[in-house]
Amino acid sequence: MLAPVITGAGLATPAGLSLAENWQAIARGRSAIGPARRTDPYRAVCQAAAEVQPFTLASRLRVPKHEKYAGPAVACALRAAAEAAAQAGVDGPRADPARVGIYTGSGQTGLDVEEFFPALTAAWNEDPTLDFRGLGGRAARLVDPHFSLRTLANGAAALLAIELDAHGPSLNVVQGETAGALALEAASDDLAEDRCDVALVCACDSLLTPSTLAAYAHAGLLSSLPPDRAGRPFTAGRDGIVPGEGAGAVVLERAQDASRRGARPLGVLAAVAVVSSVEAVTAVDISACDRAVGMAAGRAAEPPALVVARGIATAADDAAEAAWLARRFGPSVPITAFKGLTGYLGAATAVVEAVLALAALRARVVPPAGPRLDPGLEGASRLVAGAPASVASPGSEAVCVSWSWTGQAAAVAVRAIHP
Amino acid sequence: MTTTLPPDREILTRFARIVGASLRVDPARATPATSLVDLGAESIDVLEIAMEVESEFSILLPERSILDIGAEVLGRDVLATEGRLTDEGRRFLAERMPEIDAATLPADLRVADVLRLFQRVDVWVRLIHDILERSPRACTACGEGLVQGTPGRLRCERCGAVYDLPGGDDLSRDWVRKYAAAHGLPARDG
Amino acid sequence: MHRVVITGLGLVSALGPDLAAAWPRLMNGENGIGRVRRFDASAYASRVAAEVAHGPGLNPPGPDDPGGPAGHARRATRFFLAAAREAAVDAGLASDAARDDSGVAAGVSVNYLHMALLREAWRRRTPDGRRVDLARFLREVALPPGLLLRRQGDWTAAAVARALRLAGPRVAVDTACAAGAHAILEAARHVRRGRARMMIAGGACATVVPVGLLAFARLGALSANPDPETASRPFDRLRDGFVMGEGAGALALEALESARARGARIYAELAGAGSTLGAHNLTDPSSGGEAEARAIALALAEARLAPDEVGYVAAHGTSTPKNDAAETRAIERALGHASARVMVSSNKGQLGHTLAAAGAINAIAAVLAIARGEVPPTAHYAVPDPECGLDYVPNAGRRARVGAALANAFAFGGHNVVLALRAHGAGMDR
Repeated sequence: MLAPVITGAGLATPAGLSLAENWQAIARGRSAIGPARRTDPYRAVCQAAAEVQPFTLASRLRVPKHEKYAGPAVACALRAAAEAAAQAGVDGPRADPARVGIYTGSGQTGLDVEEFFPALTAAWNEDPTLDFRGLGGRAARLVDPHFSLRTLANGAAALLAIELDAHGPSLNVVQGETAGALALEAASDDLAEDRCDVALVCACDSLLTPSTLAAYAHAGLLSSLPPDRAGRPFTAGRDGIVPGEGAGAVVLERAQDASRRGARPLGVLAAVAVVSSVEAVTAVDISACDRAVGMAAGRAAEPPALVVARGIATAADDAAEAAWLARRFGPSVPITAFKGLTGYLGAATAVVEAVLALAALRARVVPPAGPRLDPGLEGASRLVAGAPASVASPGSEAVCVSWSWTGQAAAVAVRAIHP
Repeated sequence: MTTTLPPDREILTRFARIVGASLRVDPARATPATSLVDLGAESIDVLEIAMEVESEFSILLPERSILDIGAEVLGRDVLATEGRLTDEGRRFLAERMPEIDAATLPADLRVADVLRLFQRVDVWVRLIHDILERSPRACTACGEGLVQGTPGRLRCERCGAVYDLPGGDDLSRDWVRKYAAAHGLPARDG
Repeated sequence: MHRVVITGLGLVSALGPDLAAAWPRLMNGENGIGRVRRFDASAYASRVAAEVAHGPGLNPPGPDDPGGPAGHARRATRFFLAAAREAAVDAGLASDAARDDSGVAAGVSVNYLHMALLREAWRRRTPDGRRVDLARFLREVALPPGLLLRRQGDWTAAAVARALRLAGPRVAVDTACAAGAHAILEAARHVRRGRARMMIAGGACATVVPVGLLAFARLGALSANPDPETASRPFDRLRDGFVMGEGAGALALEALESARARGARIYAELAGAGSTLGAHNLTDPSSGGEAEARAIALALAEARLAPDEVGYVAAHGTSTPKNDAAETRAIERALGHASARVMVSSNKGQLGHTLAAAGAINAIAAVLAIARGEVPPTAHYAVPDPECGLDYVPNAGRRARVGAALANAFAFGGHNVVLALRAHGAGMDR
């Protein structure tokens, strides 16, 4: 794979509305997991959530009314991508918009059930059979005409193209945690094949909708702990994930192009490796993760500077992961996880965590996975906990691990370019 | 809901607020001669604005354009042919939109441009006024104001009497038939 | 870089449960659009659709069927599974041992909650009528065991990969109406770059459900014509919107050396592709079809095809006023003088608009135009539109020698994908 340089990065997550805000919080171990506020009506199902603080979008957009098309995930995508593009200096008018591509990873196009309640109520107040026949006619007028567009999975890609004046190739991957990794890989390939000169890669998601929460709850994945303990990876008593939302974005370019135009890259996307399983679903398949990490990290001469575990805070996955990482990497390789600080970000994960890993390398600091880890966990001693650790070899790579519920592992390796 | 017909300036204020919220612009920009298209409205925004207007004023708006209904009642090619207005069409338009000075319209008026005129704020305000005039506002039994029940239906909160709103297209059809009668044009029944 | 050829095809559509059934009917101009049967849509603004009848492998899974590869599968996933199986068998792909040299790329789109679950959610709404009481919902409703997986877009790709034992590259793409074409483009990328020897690629859609018809009608995108014989009429002057269709298309993409080495029948070569963004608004084509024309030009350039070598374009042709005019403009811009002679047809007149499957179905049409010399018609074409003046192969399929063909997919959100297919030597369909 061509190793494109990263010339801009942006984040909009529960931990902050910019990369700097995120890093400040995470470096200090300040978790963004809190009591569910926006999802308060669902609190009986999930009392802890990782919610992005509200922000106004319209005033920041080239086309303010496009705010109507942006649910929380897309709003975060627009924000994170604007930061990345501004940092890379690719947000202004440009010579050839056809050479800018947009590659996104997202959650589903789907039904936000409550959107239809007013129409269903109008249809069914007088129909005890609750037949969908009644959704025709007048009841239909109670459905927001923007609904279909606001819930498009490719909404982020479409709006980013308009906001950034990108007319080149595009892609939107819907692949759970690994979506961002696949988007990064596709963008790198297109750069390598000269199909574009600038690739904006952005992954976004929000789990905070009733149908998604229901699915996760039904699968037994949600934590029922209070906010101060829920979703903390590798801790004793961990019992599941804390649903969250957010987006991460990077600008990728071929190294020679970046230097020719005087851009100052933050780092390099060193490798993306994806391994798909035809057996495993939901529970993590460690052998698939191991192969992915092997391919991503194995090409480098030296061991990684840092490994970012998934750390989704379920009892079983964390145990399997900690044991595996401790076996796979020697004691010189610090291992941490971010989800105890950011919450579980679904399709945004792979890009958000790659950006945070890059920030860690540049700051030469490994944030702790949490305050106190489960001492009974095999491999716990190898995880960074309590206090931050320092990055011993800041020129080496950070490797991040992700896993899609449908049975796919991905590893993303990034390297910092220090000024 | 008040039982009296709101004055046009109140309709304008309330309409401008809806437009401002939908298009993310300052409501003050929704001046009478401004077309929603110039404020950035696309067809889907017009749908949303229509939905909000129906809810705000408890009326039903027409679903089809007056030209389509005109064609249905008066026959094809009477008001427009090959995408352009006929002389009859220009007269029809002048009566339908008295706020526009017909003399200022180009001689060769395209249907697409007419649809843009329909999106003028003053045209909307007058349409809302006209439909409000023809829609129930007070309970005939007890004089109370009415509230929205299910879409297209109002209810008296005091005595429970129910009133169906006239369909927007039906009102348009009535207007076209009156126009036909006034100008001696043949009109299709039904 | 490897050259990419097509060695297998599979189709599930309103005209039949597989390609063998559907293709002759498509060529004959038969209509797959009818009054919506699966539920009572008589009061809906759009009452017609192209629905898939039940057939082998397409029936809803029985109550004892939770564990199989398709056990947790929604309707669209089952369609894709059937089409993918057909393509795999057609390509002669054996499926015993898991292989990591072959993978799956699936175009997916709208994944509404099941209508029955929507009803159950509404029944458990909060007193103000605005939210769902989630705790009650989870406590009282019998939820399908695979609910989490069914809510994942990539389950469509994974279910097929599991069923066919394909452990190679796997991707699920959702770029709305371009998703199927994008999936093919992604699959081609993996084969070209040597990450896979073969990929099953395509798309699937099953949006003929109450919320689907309602949401798209509300957008103003659907035809309001209640007559199934005239509602979908691509390029016709009286067209007024698209007709929803369901189905799936799948193609086996393979590295040329691999196909030759095992003596596979090669339908055609996927010689090039173009992918552009309109960056204009979420629903309309680009002004003058500029971005669509650019996608065509990129596909031709990569395939090293001159405009006059293109014999057929499988058009996006949704039967909306805007798309068909802009697409015509785009073809004229990109092909220049050659646009006067090229055949252009849209199968959406008979199959409806199958959203994520559409790009894959168009690819199949382009492939068969080359491999069999059979060009499907544009159905229900009666009144020419002055803005659409190409040869749309009206109403009756045609036999012709086609050396190269394009497949278009232009999506909500401004994604434009054009695939360029070319005849491959003597490897014609036997």
